[in-house]
Amino acid sequence: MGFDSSEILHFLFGSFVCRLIFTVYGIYQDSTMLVKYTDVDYYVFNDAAHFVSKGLSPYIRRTYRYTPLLAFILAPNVHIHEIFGKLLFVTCDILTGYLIYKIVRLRNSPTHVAIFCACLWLFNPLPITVSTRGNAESIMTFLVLLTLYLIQTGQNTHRWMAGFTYALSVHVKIYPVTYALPIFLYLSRKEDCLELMQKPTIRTFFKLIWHREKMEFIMIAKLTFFILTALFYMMYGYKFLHETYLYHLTRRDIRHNFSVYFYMLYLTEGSAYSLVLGLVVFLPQVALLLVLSWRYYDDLPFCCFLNTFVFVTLNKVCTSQYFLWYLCLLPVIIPNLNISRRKAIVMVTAWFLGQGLWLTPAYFLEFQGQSTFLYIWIAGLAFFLINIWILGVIIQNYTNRTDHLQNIAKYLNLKNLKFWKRLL
Amino acid sequence: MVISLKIKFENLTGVLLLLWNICLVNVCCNQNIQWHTDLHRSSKNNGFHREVTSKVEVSTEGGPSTFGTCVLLLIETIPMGAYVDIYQLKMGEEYGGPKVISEYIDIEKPDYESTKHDIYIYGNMTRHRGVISGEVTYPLHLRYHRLRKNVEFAEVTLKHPRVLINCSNLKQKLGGNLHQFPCYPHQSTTCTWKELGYTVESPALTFLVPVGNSNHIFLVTTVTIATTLMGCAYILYLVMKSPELKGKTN
Repeated sequence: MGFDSSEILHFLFGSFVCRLIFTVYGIYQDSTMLVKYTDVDYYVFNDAAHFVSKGLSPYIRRTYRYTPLLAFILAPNVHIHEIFGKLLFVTCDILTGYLIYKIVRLRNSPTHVAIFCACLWLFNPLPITVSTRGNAESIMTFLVLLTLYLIQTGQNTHRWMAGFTYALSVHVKIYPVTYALPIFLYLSRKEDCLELMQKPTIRTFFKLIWHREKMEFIMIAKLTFFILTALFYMMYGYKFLHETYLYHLTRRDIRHNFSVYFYMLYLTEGSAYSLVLGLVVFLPQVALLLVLSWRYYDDLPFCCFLNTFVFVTLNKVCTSQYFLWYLCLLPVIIPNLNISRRKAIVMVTAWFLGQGLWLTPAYFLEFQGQSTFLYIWIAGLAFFLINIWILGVIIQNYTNRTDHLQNIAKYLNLKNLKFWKRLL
Repeated sequence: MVISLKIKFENLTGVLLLLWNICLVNVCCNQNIQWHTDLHRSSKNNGFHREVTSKVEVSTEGGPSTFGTCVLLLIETIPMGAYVDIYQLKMGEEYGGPKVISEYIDIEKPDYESTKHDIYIYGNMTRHRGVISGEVTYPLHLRYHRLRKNVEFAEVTLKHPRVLINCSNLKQKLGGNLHQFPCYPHQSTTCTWKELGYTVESPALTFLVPVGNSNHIFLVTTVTIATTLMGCAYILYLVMKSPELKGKTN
C-alpha cells in the first residue's frame, strides 16, 4: 500500500503541531478576553498543584475531585510554567493516537488502515480542544489504551505492566472498573469458561479463577490500587477517599445534563420512591454490562468499547467529556465494522444531531431562563434512542473477519493520505 | 466653642490643651457633613447566570474641600437561591472586577440545601463636581430549585446591600453609623467605615428561575423507565441474536 510503520510519525508530529497552535491561541485568548479558552478544571488542577507544592492538601481547593497524584504530577505548573500541564495532556493525547495505531496493527490490519484509525483521533477536533483547554481526560484515554495494548501483546512482562496501568486508570477515574470482568475473562482459558458454563460447580469455578497468568495481573493490579489508596489515605484521610472515589460513586446531580434520566431524577429527588427508582436505573446498566462482558470478552477492545458506551448512555449523570471515554476506543474497532459509508455518515450525523437537539433547549434554559425542562427531557430521550440505535448497528455489523477491510480501503483515498503526509 | 472660651485657665498646660482642641474641631469635625446617597441597581442577562451592577452616588454638603481617596464597600446578602463563585470573582479581579471577601460558598447545592451568605464587595470611587460615585459589577448565579405544582418559575430576591464608605481624609469622626471592617481584601488592618442610608428606585432585585413541574412526574417517570428498559431489552436481544465472535481477534 506504500506505507511503512515509520509513516505514523509524520501524523503524530502534525497532530502535535496542530495542538501546539491551539495551546498558543489559548494563551492569547486567556490574556486578552474575559471568556477564557482554558477549561475551569485546569485552574482547579493548578490551585491543587500550588497546595501540594507547599506541602498542603490538594483538597483545600474546593471542587478538586481527583487523585492527589494529578496535583503532584502538575507541580511543574508551579515551579516551571503553568503551560506544563497542558503540554502533558497534549502528549498523552498524541500517545493515545499512537496506541490506537499500535492496537489496530496488533489486530492484523494493514499499516494504512492503522494510520487512518489513528488519524480519526489525532485530528478529531473534540480531543484536540479538550486536551489543549487543559482537561485531563487524555490521561485516562492513554492509560486505558495502554492497558488494552499491554494485555493484548500476550507477553508476561507486558501483562504485569498492564496490571499496574489498569489499577492506575481505576485510581484516576473509576469508570474503567467496568473492564474488570472482560479482562478477567479474557485472561482466562476459554475452555475453563465453557466448563464453568456447562458444569457450574465449585471446582470449575476455582479452576476458572486460579490461573497463573491471570493471578499475576490481578495481584499487581490489586497491589497497585491498594498502595495508592493507602498512601493517599494516610496523607489526606477520609477527604481523599470521598473526593477521589465516593463522590463519583454516589454523585447525584439534579442539574441538567445529557443523561436520559436527568428530568426524572430531578422530579423525584427526595421523594419516597427515589430509592426504588435508583435501583430501576442501576439494574439495567449492570445487567447489560454483565451480558456484554460475558459475550464479547474475547475481543477486549470491542468489549470495552461496548461497556463504556453502555455505561455512559445509561448513567445517571452524563456530560460531554464522558463521550471521550468511548470515542478513544472507537477508532480501534472501526476496521472490524462492516458498515457502508452512507450508513456510517448517517450514524455520525444522528449522533451530533442528538446532541444539537438537546443543546438547543438546554441553552434556552440555562442562558435565557426559559422553562424548557420538558423539551430537554424529550431531547434526552431522542439522544438515548439514537445511541441505542448506534449501539445496535455496531453490534450487528461487528465481525472479527478481515475480508471486509476492503470497505475501509474504500473510505480511504490513499492519494489524499499521502498528500497530508507530505504536508505534515 | 464659645462656651469653652469662657473657661478660666489655671495654667499654661490647660491653655495649650484648649488650643489643640479648637484646632482639631475646626479641621475635622466642626463641619456638619450632609450626606445624600443614591443607589442604582440593575442586572444583566437571563437564565442561571446574571451580572449584578450597583452604582452608588454620594453628594455631600459641608466638610473639607477634599475627601482624599474614597473606597466603596457593599455588604451583600446572597440568598440561598443564588451563589457567587469566589474563584470566578478572584479571576475577574485581573480584569478590573471588584475585590471581594467571602467565606467559601458551595456552588453545586440546590437552593433547599443551601444557606445565605454575606459577601463584602470593594470598589473604587471617584469625585466629580462634589459627587462621589462608584460602580461595581459581579457575576451572580442562580441555583436549581425544588419543583413546584403548576408553576414554571421560582423567584429569588436579592435585597439591596448595605453601603459603606471610607475616605482617606475623613478618617476620624465621620459621625453617624460607623463600623470596623477590613480596609481592603487580604489586609488584616481594619478601618472605620461610615454606613450610608440611601434612596433606591425599587425595593429589591428579583430573578425568575425555571423549575420542574410536579405535574410531569407521572408522565416523565413512566416514559423514561419504559424507554430505557425497552432500549436495554433491544440491545440484549441483538446480543443474543448476533453470532458469537470466534477466537481472540489478535
